[in-house]
Amino acid sequence: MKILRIIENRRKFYTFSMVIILAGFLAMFTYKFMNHQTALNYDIDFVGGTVMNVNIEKEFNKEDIMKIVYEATNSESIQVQKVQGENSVIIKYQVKDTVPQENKVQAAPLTAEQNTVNQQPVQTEPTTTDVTTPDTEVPEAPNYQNHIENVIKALSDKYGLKSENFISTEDISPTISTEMQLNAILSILLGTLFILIYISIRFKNVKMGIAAILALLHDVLVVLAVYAIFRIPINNAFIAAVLTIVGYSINDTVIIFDRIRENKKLYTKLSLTELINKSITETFARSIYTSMTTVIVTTVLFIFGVDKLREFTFPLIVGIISGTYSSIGNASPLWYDMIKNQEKKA
Amino acid sequence: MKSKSLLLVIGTLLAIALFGFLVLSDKVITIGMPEKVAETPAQTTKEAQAPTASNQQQPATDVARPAQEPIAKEATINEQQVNVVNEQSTPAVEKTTEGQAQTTVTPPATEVQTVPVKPTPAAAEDTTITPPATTQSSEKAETTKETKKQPIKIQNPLSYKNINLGLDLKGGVSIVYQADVANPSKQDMDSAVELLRRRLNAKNYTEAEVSLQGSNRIRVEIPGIGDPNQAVNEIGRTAELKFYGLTKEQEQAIKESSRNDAEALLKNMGIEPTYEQISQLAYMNYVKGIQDKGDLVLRGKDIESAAKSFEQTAQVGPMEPVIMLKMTSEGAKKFADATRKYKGSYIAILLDNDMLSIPKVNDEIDAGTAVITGMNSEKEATTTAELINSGALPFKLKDIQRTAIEARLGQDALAGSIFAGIVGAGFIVLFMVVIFRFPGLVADMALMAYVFLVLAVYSLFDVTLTLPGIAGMILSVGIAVDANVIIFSRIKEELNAGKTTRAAITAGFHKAMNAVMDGNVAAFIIALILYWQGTGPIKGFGQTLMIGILVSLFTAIVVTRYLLNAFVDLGVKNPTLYGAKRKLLTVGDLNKK
Repeated sequence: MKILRIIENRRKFYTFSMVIILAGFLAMFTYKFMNHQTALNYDIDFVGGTVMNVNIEKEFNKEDIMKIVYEATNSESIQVQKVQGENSVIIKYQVKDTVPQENKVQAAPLTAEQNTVNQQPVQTEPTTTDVTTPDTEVPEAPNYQNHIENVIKALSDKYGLKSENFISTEDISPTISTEMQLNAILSILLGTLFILIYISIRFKNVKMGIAAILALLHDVLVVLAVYAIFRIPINNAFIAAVLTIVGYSINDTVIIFDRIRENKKLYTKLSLTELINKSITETFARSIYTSMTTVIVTTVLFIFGVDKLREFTFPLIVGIISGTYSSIGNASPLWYDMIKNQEKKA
Repeated sequence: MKSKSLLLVIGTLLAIALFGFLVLSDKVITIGMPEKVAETPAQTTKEAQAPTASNQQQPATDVARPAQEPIAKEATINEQQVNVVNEQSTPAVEKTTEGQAQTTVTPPATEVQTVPVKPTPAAAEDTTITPPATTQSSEKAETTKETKKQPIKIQNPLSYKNINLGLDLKGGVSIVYQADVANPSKQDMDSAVELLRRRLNAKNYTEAEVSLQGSNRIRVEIPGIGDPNQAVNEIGRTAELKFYGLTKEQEQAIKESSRNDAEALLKNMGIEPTYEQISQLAYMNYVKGIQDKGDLVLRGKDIESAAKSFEQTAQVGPMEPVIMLKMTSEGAKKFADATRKYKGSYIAILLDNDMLSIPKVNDEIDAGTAVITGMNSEKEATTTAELINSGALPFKLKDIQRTAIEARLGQDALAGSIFAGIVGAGFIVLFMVVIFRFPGLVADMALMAYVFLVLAVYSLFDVTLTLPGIAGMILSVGIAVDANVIIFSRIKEELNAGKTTRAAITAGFHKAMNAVMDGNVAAFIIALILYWQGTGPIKGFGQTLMIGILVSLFTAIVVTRYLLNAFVDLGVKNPTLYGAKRKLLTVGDLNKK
């Protein structure tokens, strides 16, 4: 088989990667400063709030539901989405918790959700402005339970719903969501750190470790770009997706490095460029096969799985492809760039 | 040699088949044909009858009661000595949707009044639901006992039915509570967990799980129920019983101001208040007023025990459910003092923010017992007594996270994932055969072994399968295949380099080992971090991924290796079968020079 000329073309690979990553940042920037939204579409896992999936069972008016929820919660960030093809609705809202800490999203409450196609928060305003009374007059400071109960009660009254109509309810207070954010960052950092240590020890080569980590960083940023561009909600599944991708990508990279290490002993006369190209070529089929099998499985999961899984599998598909790409096009070339000067001297 | 290999191949395949059979069959395997056919119809009719029968019974008692109820109710504190006339018993607010509307909120009137206690629809429903459930299950147990007489039964610990399903797959409610104090001690947390457990058991949620999370959180998971508000609020209550002494004047003042405040507030909001709205708000103000201004004379720790009992509270009338309180010696003394002090006035009995009753004190009580009347139903009396008995939580619990999934959604998710898993696995099986030919076929056998083994591990080690867990499992199929892909690619290279099939297999496994191990260790590290750092679903994902990686190492390396070698012994050694030389479909033939 023809030897692939990876090292010679590495700049093209770098550029391609940079373009995608920058596109992601551009998307975040646009949302943040041009559309006045949050840079990323944070799910309630990360900012706190309530999501309810309710089966109304008959035709309904989204504005009615907005109004009902507004009256029940006083929340200023209500999103109502109709589930396509069904008479059910997904209601999302955030309520200022008793916790003093302000969240980023709450800073721009009304504008924050103009991205979702279907909401008219403004419409509910005129009728209800007078309802907002200072919290002090309400005997008990509203807590989370009350909101959910109020919404459930109000919707049940209006549409005659039973408890089984409330398909799912999820509620997370900002206290725990801040923690989840920290936890997410911590797990990703920890994961990378351990991988770096493992590779450095296993290959007795810290630079290989660094190159591998840089490739990983690339994958994480590419996935982040996908989340930013497609506005996929950033939630717990995001962490799982990122870490899985990290695991996959590192697997790919390790196998190529492993081949480089092996070939280095076998073919002592090859130049560094030739050595890397040869190793990548030899493992190329395997890299493609593996990512293909995994992509097949994830795609099937994406097509047949439920919505919750879909949120998880789409970034995974992108991530696995990106992982394969980065381990071929980025990891080894980066390592090459790090040591080429040394080799020349030697 | 040949016969040994043949044995090995057949043995392995049989083992896989047996494993598959065990995993896919019931918890108890019955050998011999039980005569089920005759009994099933009988069972269904029994089941069908059971609920209707008890349905008829239950409302009958409920309906009978309100008819006789509207008779003056008198509360007595300590039967022998005193008659504390309960002006009005204010039923505890039930936090159900119907409950809120019905609660009679009018503050106690000054004169003895007749209070018709309507049975709340919620309570009536509740009582009727439980009996059929129990009769049904006992009936079932009987019938199964009958069927199990003749055939041999074998306990099957590997059955897939032992695998626990997470709430997202079977529906249910999960709540995370956080202690509302800065640094709760481990002891307090443990006792809070124990207390929640007892309360759940008392409510018959026997499948519910309570676990400590971190240093100040408690996670409660109740499978099966979809409505997060059903019973859940009760469970997290502090449940401290408090007795407040109030003079007549104080009571009057609180009552008036609470009603006025409520009216004023509602008017301010621009709402034309309905009677219910005012009463509801006034009641909340009233309770708050008592808590603020009342004199706390007795609290939870002064109560030794509470029990449901029946008592004739009116001169003429039926026996009514009440709660008997027994006080500790210290409590008895305090209570005696309080009743002396507030003779002719009121003592309000509150459970957290619910007013249980506010009786008028007619005489000093020093016997150390008290009776709380005004229970809506026997069930309410029982649960309230249990709540008091289970003791007060050492701190307030705040719920910070709550997830509820309706059972049907969970089942759909499970069905969808299983279907996706089967289709995905089918694609992989095909892919392997197409790309790697004979070794691919062997890898597919190993893959079967992998799937059954993983399921067996889940059921043996009590893994709770969640939606992300299934994703982790399916992904690990990809990893399992990856090891074989690496090995077979190597074998192909070795064959193309001119080695014999047997030598190529040995070399291929040997050379691929490093790469396979490194890749799997790296993935394992990630899985471990997910399991260790993650919470809830992420943890489940990490767990299944870890199990998947470990099992796949065994099947992809050990099982395929033995099988391949055995097949070579049996004469399957044409290199083209292993993907060498003829380059029709393969991309993976590699440079020889």
